[in-house]
Amino acid sequence: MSDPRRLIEEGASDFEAKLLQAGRRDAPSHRGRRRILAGLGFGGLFSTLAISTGADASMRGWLFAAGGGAASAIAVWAGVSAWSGEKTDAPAPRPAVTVVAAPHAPVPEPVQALPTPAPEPVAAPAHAPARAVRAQPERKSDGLSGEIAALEGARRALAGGKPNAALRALDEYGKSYPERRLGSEATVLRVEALLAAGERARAVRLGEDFLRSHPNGPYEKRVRSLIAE
Amino acid sequence: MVLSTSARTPEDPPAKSGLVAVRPSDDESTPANLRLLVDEHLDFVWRSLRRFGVLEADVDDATQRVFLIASEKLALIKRGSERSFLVGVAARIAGHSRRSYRRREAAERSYSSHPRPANPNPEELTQRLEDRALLDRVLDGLSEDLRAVFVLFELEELSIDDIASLLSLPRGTVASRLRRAREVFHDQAKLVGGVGSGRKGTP
Repeated sequence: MSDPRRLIEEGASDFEAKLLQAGRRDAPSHRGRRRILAGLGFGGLFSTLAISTGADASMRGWLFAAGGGAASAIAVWAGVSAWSGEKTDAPAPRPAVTVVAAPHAPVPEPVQALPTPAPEPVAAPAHAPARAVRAQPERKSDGLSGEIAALEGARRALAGGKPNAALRALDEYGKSYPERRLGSEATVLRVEALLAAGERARAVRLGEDFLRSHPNGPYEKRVRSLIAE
Repeated sequence: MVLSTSARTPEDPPAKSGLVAVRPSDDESTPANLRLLVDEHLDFVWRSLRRFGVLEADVDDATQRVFLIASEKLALIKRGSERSFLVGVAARIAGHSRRSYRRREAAERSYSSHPRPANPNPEELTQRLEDRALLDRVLDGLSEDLRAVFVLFELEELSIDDIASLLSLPRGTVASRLRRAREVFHDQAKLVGGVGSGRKGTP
C-alpha cells in the first residue's frame, strides 16, 4: 500500500502550506547548536564545524580558516539563515563509516552522591511504640521512562528556583531507581542544585569526584564549568 | 503517549537515514560515537522536540538532554535503531515539558520577547517566525499520539513504514492516526488562521 501524498503537496490550504513549509525549514540557530554541542562536551570551533550545520563545504572551510576570528566570522556569515536556523538546500555530507555490532560495554559505576541530611524523625504519639517505623522506599518498575520523568521533575524544581526541592527529588530518584541508569545526568543535576542552594563546597566535592570517575566523558566540560571558581 | 524505544528486530530493514556510528569494541560510549550520533540527528531531534511541543526557549536544553540520555545508552542502542531511540526519548521529554507549563501563555511570551534580529530581510524573517508560532498553536490542538505521527510524516517527511517502525506501531494504526491528525490540523488551522478551507486538490 502506497503512502498518501504530503499535505503540502495536496490537500493543504495556502495558509496551511505556509505553516508546514515554515516547520520543515526550522532548525537550531548556530548559537543554539554551539550551546548544545558545548553541553555535550563538543565545544570549540573545529568541533562545531565538524558537525553538519547544513552549510555548504566551502562556507565551512572559510569559517574554519578564520580561526581566532571565528566568532566574528560566524556573525558575518550568519545573516538570515543563522539567526533563523534555516535549513539550507545542500544536504549534509554523511560520514562514511559503518556500524560494527559491538559487545556490551560495562556500565560505569555511578558516582556516589554525598549523603544529604536525613529528614527529621516525626515525634511518635504517646500511645505508639517508642521506635518510629520508617517506610521502605518504593522501588519503581517503570524503567527508563520513570527515570526520565523523575529527573525532569528535579530539573523543573531547579528551574523554578527551588533547589532544595530538586535535591529531594534527586534523593527520591536514587531510592526509587537504585540501578540509576541515568546516574550521570542525576549527579550533574545535583551539582547544579547544590550550587543553587548555596552548598558550593559540597557541589565542588561532588563535581570533582564525578570528574575523577568519568574522565573525558560527555559531561566533563559542563561539570568543570559548574564548579569553576 | 507511550513510545517504545525497543530496537528493531533483526529482520527490519536498516534505517533510511543510513546512519551510523563507529563503535570500537572496547568502548561504546566514547565521545566520538556520541558526536557521530549528534552529527546525524541533531537537527532532526531539535525539530521533533519543537514540533512535539517544547518551547523555543527550552528546546536547546531539551535537545542536549536527549543526547545526554543517549550517551548513557550507546551500548544498548542497536544498529538501525538510533533514530527510534532518539524519537522515543524526545517524545517523553516533550510530553513532560508540555504538562509542566501553560503553553499558550508561555508561547506568547516567548514570541513577543523574541528579539528582532538585525539582518537584511527583517520582514521576511519576522513572517517566518510568526508562521512557526502559528504552526505550534495549530499543532497544540492535536493529541500527543496524533501529533507525533503528523510531525514525522508531514514535516520530517518520513514514510508510513518508517514511522511505524520508529513508534513501534502497526502500519494501519499510523495511517489511521495520520488521517485523524489531518482532520484536526485542518480544523485547528481554520481556528488559528481564521481562513476558509481553500484546500488544494483533494482533502
